[in-house]
Amino acid sequence: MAKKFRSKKRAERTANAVIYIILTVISIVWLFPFFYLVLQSLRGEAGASTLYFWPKQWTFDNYIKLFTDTATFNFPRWYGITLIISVVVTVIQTTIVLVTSYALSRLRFRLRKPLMNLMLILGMFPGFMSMTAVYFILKLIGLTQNLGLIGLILVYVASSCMGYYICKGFFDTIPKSLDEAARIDGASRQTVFFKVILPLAKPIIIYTVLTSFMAPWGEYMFASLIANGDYDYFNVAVGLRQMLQRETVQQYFTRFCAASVLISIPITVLFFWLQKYYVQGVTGGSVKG
Amino acid sequence: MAQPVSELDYLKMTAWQKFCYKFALFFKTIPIVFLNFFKIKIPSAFKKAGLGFKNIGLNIYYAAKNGDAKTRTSFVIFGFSQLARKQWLRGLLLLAFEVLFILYLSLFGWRYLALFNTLGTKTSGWVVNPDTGIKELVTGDNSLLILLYGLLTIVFMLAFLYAWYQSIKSAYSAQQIVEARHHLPTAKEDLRSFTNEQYHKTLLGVPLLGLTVFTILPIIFMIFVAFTNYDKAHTPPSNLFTWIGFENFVTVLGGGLSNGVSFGLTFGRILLWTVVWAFFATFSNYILGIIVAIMINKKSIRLKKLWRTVLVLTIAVPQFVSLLLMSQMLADSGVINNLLKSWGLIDNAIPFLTDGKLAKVTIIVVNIWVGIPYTMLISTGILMNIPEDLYESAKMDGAGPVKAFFKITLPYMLHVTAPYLITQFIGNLNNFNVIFLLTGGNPALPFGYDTSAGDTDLLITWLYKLISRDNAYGVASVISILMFVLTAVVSLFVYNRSSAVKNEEDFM
Amino acid sequence: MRKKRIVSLLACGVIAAGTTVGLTACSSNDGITVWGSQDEQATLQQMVDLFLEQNSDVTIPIKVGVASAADAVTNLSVDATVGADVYCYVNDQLINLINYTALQPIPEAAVARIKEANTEASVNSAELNGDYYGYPYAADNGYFLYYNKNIMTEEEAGSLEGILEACKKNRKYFIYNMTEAWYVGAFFLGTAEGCVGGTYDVEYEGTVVSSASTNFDQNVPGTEHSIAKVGGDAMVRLNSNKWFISGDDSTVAQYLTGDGTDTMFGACISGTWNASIIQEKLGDGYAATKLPTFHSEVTGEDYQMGSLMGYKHFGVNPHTKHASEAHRLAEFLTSEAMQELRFDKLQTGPSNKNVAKLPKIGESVALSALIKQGDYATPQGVFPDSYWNAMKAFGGNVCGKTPTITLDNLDSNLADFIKAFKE
Repeated sequence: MAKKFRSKKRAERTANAVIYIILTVISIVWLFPFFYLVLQSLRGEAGASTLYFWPKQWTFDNYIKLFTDTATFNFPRWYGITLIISVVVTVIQTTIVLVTSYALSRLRFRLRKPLMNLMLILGMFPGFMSMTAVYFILKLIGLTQNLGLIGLILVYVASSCMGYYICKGFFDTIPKSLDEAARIDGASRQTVFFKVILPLAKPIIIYTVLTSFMAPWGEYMFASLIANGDYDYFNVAVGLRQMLQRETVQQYFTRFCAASVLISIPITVLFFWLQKYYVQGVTGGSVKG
Repeated sequence: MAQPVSELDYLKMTAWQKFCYKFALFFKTIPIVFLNFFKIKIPSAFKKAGLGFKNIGLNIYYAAKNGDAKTRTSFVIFGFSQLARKQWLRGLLLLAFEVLFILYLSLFGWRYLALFNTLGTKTSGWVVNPDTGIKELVTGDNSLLILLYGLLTIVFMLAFLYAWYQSIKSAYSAQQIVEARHHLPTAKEDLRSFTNEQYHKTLLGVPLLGLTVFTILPIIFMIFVAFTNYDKAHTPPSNLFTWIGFENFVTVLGGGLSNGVSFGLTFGRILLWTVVWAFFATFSNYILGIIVAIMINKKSIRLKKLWRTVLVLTIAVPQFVSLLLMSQMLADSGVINNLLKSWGLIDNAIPFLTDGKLAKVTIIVVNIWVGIPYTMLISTGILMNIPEDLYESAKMDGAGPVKAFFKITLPYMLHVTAPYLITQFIGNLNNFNVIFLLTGGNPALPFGYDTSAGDTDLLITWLYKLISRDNAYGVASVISILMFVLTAVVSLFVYNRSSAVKNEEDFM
Repeated sequence: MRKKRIVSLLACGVIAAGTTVGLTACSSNDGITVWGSQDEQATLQQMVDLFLEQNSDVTIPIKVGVASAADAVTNLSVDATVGADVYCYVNDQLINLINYTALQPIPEAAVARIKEANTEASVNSAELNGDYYGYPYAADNGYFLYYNKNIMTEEEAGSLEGILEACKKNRKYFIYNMTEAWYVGAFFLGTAEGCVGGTYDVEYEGTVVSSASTNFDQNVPGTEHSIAKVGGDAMVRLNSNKWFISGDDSTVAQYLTGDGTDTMFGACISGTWNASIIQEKLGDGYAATKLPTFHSEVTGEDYQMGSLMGYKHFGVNPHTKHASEAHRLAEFLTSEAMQELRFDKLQTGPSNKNVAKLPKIGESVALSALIKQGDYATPQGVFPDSYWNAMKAFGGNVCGKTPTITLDNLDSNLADFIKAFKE
C-alpha cells in the first residue's frame, strides 16, 4: 500500500516535471516577440529593423523622448485619450454583455431563440463594408465632429450585445436551483440578477472587462475617421501609425516600439491585478453561493 | 457505416467506432434537416405569420368597433386613452414617440424617402463665381445618403406602425379591464413589472437599440447596395448611382467581373483556402488552448499567476504592433532566419512568408500564438467551474487523468463552449487582421488567377482590396452577401444542433 | 456590497464620459484647416505663419492638422464636407478625390502662374479634362540608386552588372523591391534614349478609364525581342544572383546596419525618404545616382532602367467656406519661396523650375540623383488597378528562392502578364 502510494507520487512528480518543461518552453515562445519588442525599444541605432538580435547600443532615450519630445508626436496626450475611451468602453460594454447574457440565459420570452440566432449571424458581415453607413448615422445624431469621441465610444459599444455567447454559456452553468430558491423567497428577477447571479459571475465579468478594455488600443480605421486630422484627438493607434509612414519609419521605429511596450502595460497590470478575483471568483463561487 | 444500428450493436462498438458512427450519422442528418427546414419550418413560419397578422387585424377591428371615445382617440393621438386612464407612463411614452416621429418625418425623413425610388436625379456640377473666378461646387443629390436615410425612415415608419398598434391594443385592453371592473395597472406597477415579468425588456432595450442602429441598419444598407451600380464610375457624392436589379449578382455568379475564367477560378481558390484556414485556425487554438489551461490549472503546478500573465502579455500588445513585428521577424532577412543561420541550423533563409505553401502554415502557427491566450482565459474560468465532486467520484471509480479528461472535462467544455467554437470559426472566416497585417495577402498568385488576389488572401482581405482602390461596392456587396449567407446557414445549422443549445435547460 | 461596486464603476464611467465631453467640446471649425503629414507639421505651421504675416487682409484663423496623404484620401472618401480646406495629396489619387467632391478646380489666373513656375510634367499631373485641380509642390515621388562608394566607383554603379560584381567582391548586397508594383516598372518603362521603350497609357472619359494600353508586347527598337521579354528576362536573372535581395525599406535598414560594426549594404533602389538613414549609416561612403543600366542576355545590349515619377499637390476642398483665401493659401504653400523653405527643412524635391536650379539642390546627393533619373522617368498618371496588379503579380512570381517564373516558362508567363494590363 505504502509502496503503491509512493510510486503514484513519483509518477505525479514526473508528470509535473514534464508540465513544467512544456510550460517553460511555451513561455519562451510566447515571450519571444514581446522580448524582441522590448529589445527594439531599447535599441540606440536608428533604422526600422536590424539583422541581429541584440542591440549594439542600449538606451532609454526612446522612452524618455516619448514624453519630452511631444512637439511632433504627442504620445502622452494620445495615451490619455485612449485610456479614457477604453475605461468608458469597458464599463458600458461589460454592462451590456452581462445584462444581455442574463436575459438570454435566465429569462424566457417570445423571440428569444430567433434573437440569439440573429445576433450570432450578424457578426459575419464584413465590418469595413458598412463603415460609411455607420459614419453617416453618427453624423445624423451629431456625434461626428465636436462630439466625435462620444460617437467613437458609441460605435465601439453599440453592438456589444453580440458578444453574449461566452457569458451566456457561463450563466448557463450556474445551477438554476439557486435562482429558484431566491424566487420562492419572493425575489424579483432583478433581485435574482443582482444578488444571485452577479456575485457568481466574477470570472466572466473579468474576462469581459479584459477583452473590452483591450479593443480600443488597436482600433485604427474608425478612430482615424473621427479624429479627422485633428491631432489632439488621435488615439494611440492612429498616432503611432504616423510614425510608420515611409518618411518617418526609419527615424521613429524604435520609439514606436517603446510606445507599444507602454501600451501593453495597463493591460498587463489590469490582468495581473484582476487575476486574484478571477481565480477566487471561480473556485469559491458556484457551490457556496 | 451510416446505416441505423440496433442499440445492442451500438453498445458493442469500440469507442472509435462509436465516434465514426456518430460522425456519419451527423452528416446523414444534414439533408433531412434541410428538407425539414423547407417542408415544415418555412410553411409553419408563414402560417404563424399569417395567424399573427390576422390577430393584429382583428384586434384593430374590435378596438375600432367596440372602443369608447378614449380608445378611438388613441387611433390618432397615441397614448390618449392611457393618459385619460391615468396610466401616465405608457401614455407619455407613446405620445412622445408619435411627436418624435412626426417631427423626424416632416423635418428630415420625407426628403430622402421621396427620392428613394431613383436614388437621386440631380448631379453635382460646377458654376463659376463671377467675383473670384473660382468654379464653385453645386451640390447635387447624394445617392448614398438618400439610400441610407431613406432606409432609416422606412425602419422608423415600421416602428411607428408597431407603436400605433400597441397604442390601440393597450387602450382597448385597458378599456376592457375597466369595464370588467378589474384593477388597471398604474404607472408604479408598470414600472415594477419592468424589474420582474418584463425584465427582459429593461435589460435588452438599450442593447438592441444600439444593435439595430449601428449594425442591422448598416447591413441592410449594404444589402441594398448590392442592387445598385455603386462603383468607381458611380461614386457619390459627385456621381449618382441607381438601382440595377440583379445585374451585380449575374456579374459575380456568372464569373464576368474583369476577366471571366480567372475570376471564378480565383474565387474558388480563395474560398477553399478561407475554409481550410478557418478550420485549422479554430481547432488548433481550441484544443491547444484547453490543454495549456489544464496544465496551468493542475493543482500541484505552482506559479499559476506567472504562466497566465506570460500568455496574456501577448494579448496586451495591440495586434497591429505584434503582427507587424512578427512579419518583420519572419521575413527572409528577418531576425529568426538570421538567428537560425548564425546557429548553423540553416544555410538559406526559410521563406516563412514568401512561399505560398509555407506562408499558409506560418499564418496558422502565428494565429496559434495570437489565439491560445484567449482560449486559455475562457477555459480557465470554465474548467474551475466544473464541480470538484465529479472528479472525486471518477477517481473513486478508478478513472485516470486521461479518462477523466475525455469523460468529464471535454464534454463539459464542449457543452459550454460550443457557441464560442462556432463564433471563433466564423471570426476566423472573416479574420482580417492576421492576414492583412502579417502578409497582406502575399505572395502573389501565379498568372492564370485574377491578379488582384494573393496566395494567402482570405475572401475578406480580397474584398477589401476590391473596394479600397476601385470602389466596386456593388459587386463587393454581392460577394459579402454570398459569404454572409454561406456562413450564416452553416453556423446556424451547427449552432442549433450543438448540445449547448439543445440541452440549455437541463444541464445540472 | 456588490451593488456598491457596480455603482462605483458606473460613477467612474460617468466621470470619464464627462471628461470626454470636456475634451471634445473645445474644437471649432471656423476658418481654414490645412492637412499635412506628421513629419512636416512644424514646417507647415511656419509657412502658415508667413502667409498670415504677408497677407494682412486675411483675418480668418488657419489651423494645421495631421493627415498623411493616404489618410487624407481615406477620410475625404467618406465625408468630404468636413475635410480640411487645403490638403496635400499624391497625384495618383486625383480622380478618386474628384469623385469624392474633394477637389476644386483652380482659377484660370492661378493656372497660368503655376504653369509658369513649375515643370510641365508636375502641372500636367494635376489636370483632368481641361481643369487643373492641384498646386504642385513636390516632384520627388520617384526612385533612384543609392550606393556605397567605398566599395564601388561611380562607373561601376552605372550598370547592374558592375554593382553586383562589386557587391560580390566585398560581400555586400544589392537591394531592390521586386514584390512592389511601383518598382517593377523599372525594367520595362522608359522611352528615353537607351531605355527599352515601354509605355503605359490611360485615357479617361470623365473619371472613368476608357482605355489602358501598353506596348510591352512590341519589340525593343532595333531587335526582334519584345520589351516584356527583355525586361522579364533581366529580372529573372537578377533574382538568381546571390548578392541580390528583394526587400522593402526595413530590409534596407537591416543591411545598412549590417552586423552592427560593418554595413552589409552595397546599393539599393529607393527614394528620398531614405536619404538621411543611408547617409547616417554609410558616412563617407554615401552616394546616389540615376538607376543603372542592365545587360540583356536576349539582345546582347545594355539598357537604361526606367522609373515612375509621381508628384504631390496641395488641393482645395470645394466645401470650404473661404474659397478665395484657401486658393491663395494653397498657392502660397507651393510658391517658389515655400518650396525652397520646404527643401531646407524637409529635403523635399521641388517642382518649381527655379528652385530645382538652385546650387544647394545640386549639392543634395539624393535630389540630384533623382533629377538625373528624371530624364528616364515616366510620369505616373492615375493608373487603374490592373496596372498595379499586373506588375505586382509578375514581380512577385519572379522573386523568391523558388520562383514560379523561371527562364523556362518565361514566355508563356509574359503573355499572361501583358494580358493582365488590359482593363
